Amino acid sequence: MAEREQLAEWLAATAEGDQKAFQQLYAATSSQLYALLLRILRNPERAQDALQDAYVRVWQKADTYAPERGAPLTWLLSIARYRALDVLRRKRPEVAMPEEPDMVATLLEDEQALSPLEENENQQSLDAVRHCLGTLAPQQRDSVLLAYYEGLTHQELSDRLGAPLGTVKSWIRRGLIRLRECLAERA
Amino acid sequence: MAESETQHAMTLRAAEYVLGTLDAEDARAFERELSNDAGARAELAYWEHRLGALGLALAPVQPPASVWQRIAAAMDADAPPHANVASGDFGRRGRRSGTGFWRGLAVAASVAAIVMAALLFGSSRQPEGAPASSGEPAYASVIYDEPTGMSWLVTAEAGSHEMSVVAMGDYPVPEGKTLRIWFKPEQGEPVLLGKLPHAGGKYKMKLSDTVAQAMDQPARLMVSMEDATRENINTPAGELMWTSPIARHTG
Repeated sequence: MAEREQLAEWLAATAEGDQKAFQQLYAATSSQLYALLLRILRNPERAQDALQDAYVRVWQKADTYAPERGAPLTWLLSIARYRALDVLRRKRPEVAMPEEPDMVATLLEDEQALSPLEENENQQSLDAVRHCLGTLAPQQRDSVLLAYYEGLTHQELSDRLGAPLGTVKSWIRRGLIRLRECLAERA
Repeated sequence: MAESETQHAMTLRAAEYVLGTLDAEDARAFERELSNDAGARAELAYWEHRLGALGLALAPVQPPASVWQRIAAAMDADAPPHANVASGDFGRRGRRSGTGFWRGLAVAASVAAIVMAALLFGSSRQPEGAPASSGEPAYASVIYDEPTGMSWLVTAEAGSHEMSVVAMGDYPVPEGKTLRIWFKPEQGEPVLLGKLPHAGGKYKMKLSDTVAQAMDQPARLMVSMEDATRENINTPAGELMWTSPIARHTG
């Protein structure tokens, strides 16, 4: 049951080269990062490679984490996700596993068992994003979620959703603007 | 009004950068913006945190134990010899003792760096007919910074998926920057090898299948100075610092 402060402590110790703290950080967070990498890359081997790369980066740049950048876990998730996008942009899987946009959209409506990590704060962050995504037009919400969970580019979103490229770009941008406004209203 | 529009556009760029929907050119432009603009960095952090919360909606999945073993091995490989337990990174942490030895070598390197590759080959010459991959370096390159006398000796064995990097001293890298080393075939685009360590010591770097197989073709090493925050890195975007041909041991 690692709270934000505990994760931040481990990150700070990792920045000082404390391997034990780094191992504790890994033990407490890797299952959440791995779940995201599996979701985006859809291949255990590639997800494991990306997970390894992500934590090697964490080891190397733990000192760049600043508490004002947000909760440690969301920072770690962003590192993992950048890694997954790198992998995707280099090489798309030969066999894509199509998924209906609705499945992604409903993901946020499920009462998923949240990781025990930083439960309260993360639950609030997730609740806020869930609520605000719910205020978006369906196409805007689907576009943002597909881009997040599958790492799709504008063009890939256009193909997937059967909409012109310009329209998809507009959905994404309007969706993000609305998301920002809504999150600000809740803050 | 104009300021508000500018802010609005920057917010969108940050959001789309985090989401991954910026095209490569716009992503690079935003990375340059990050290095100069605290507002852009704050927006980036905002969206990393906000969109990062979406990752929490997924039920955790335990990765296999082998992943940690690989990470631990990578940390060991990164750590310079005689490193403190606390050391394993390329420059930020408490450095190992003994950099004086490497500094001394750097002086020698500043006299005639390229000679070292020749000496290296000469000293490890195998009897005729010996297998090529008997531990001798088959490829070598010396990256040399004339103003500071700093140099790196890079060697690899034939067919190996690993190369050895000896940083002969500490090279000052500005805050927020990092050195990246690239393999540049004579015919072809640069391939990223990784972060070039800039603190004195010996390091190992992994080589992909593609690079390992291309090593016997004419090629150079290139080093660029990149923004440390730059994650999606496929081509050099920062200042090109040095290039050096890869010498081949022709026996």
